[in-house]
Amino acid sequence: MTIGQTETDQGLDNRVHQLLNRTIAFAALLTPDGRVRDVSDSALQAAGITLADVAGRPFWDGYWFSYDTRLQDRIRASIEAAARGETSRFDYAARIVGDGRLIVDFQMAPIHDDRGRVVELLASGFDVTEREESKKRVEAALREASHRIKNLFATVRAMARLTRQFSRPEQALDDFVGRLEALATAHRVLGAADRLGWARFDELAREVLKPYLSGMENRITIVSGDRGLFRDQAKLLGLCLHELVTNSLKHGALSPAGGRIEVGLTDPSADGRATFHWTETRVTPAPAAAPDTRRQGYGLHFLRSTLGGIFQAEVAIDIPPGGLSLSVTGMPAGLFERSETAESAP
Amino acid sequence: MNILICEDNVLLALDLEYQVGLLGHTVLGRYTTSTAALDRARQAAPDVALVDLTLADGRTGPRLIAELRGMGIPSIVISGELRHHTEPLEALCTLEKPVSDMELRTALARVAN
Repeated sequence: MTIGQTETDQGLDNRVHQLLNRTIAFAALLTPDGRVRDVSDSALQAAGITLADVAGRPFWDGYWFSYDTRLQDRIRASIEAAARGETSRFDYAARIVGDGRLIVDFQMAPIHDDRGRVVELLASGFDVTEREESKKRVEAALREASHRIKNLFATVRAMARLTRQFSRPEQALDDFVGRLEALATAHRVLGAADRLGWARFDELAREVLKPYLSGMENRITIVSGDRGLFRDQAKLLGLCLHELVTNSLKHGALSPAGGRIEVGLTDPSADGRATFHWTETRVTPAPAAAPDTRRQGYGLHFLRSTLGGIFQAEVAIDIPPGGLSLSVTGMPAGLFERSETAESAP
Repeated sequence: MNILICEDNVLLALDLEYQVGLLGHTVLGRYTTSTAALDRARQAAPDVALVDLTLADGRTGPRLIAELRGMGIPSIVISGELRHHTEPLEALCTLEKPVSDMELRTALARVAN
């Protein structure tokens, strides 16, 4: 390459250049004081330059590093270390065509002759941009998970305190565990591996109600739209279903007197309105019993507040002798998964 | 004091309402979106707002806090993602979820002073 070289030298340089080009990395061959002898085509193309732009010049002045003097100093220090026989390795952002950046896993290594003297330096680097970006995605996902775990702790504690507030002391622990299990079920349904935190209403309802329906599956009808329900609000809806079904077992259509339940959630209309309903019909009207105000305290307070909050609307609750009926129509913010995701999902 | 709760998880909002009630304060309402909370704040002039950063209408908490401050209403941030929040917040103080009774009591006492 250099004028005045013998034919053998030129042949060797050609082979070296091919060697640099055949590696999967960016590569450059330098003199021990860091001047450029040769650079792989990949590194030249990435920067949009030719060998003539850098040949014979200090490597650290090259296009890849010249946007940042600290990076230039670091490259220079690695050259000095390599001249002393030491290998350096670190990641840096290389400038590429159009002032873009590639994250490069970089190494500067000495090449010795037979007598152990450093005669050349080999700079090489892998493009690890993809790896670094996927690392960032994983880190973001971990932050999101940590945020959700904190919310979950706060939710569990809120359930515990509300249970203590409303349940009879001897019943409170069982009530709490039932609610905790319903929350865990909702979490499982919504966290299925092939989903990103959503489930259809019928899937959620079936799983939350299942433990309470053994032998009575035919007494309940679930009416569901197709849209996916999204994590946090859907979990709250799951807890509401739990309150409704346990109440029905004690006092309503699932009690020994018998009856039927229809529960449903419509897909949102074009203006975002959706309706949730739970309708109990009993075979025979129940005898009038003294209302249990503490139990009603939790159940009704919870249902009214939670459904009211989810749907941003008043909840209509009717408790005739035949069982409980409830319905709410509103604009539930954050309940439905954005439609494009739901449509693209299996 | 009269307190506004802006929290998209209704259960957490109910719990906050209960906590705040035990401390002798009044809750003017629980809101899951910043727009609804702001509407209520304009009518009712609360003494302080408890605000989550992410609400049902998105990450609108920081803007809500700024708007409330413009109306002279201080905010206490209650969030599970404070460590990852980098923009400055115009809030009186920030509490990390889950918030203990003591933390809430101390924060509300700062509003009263």
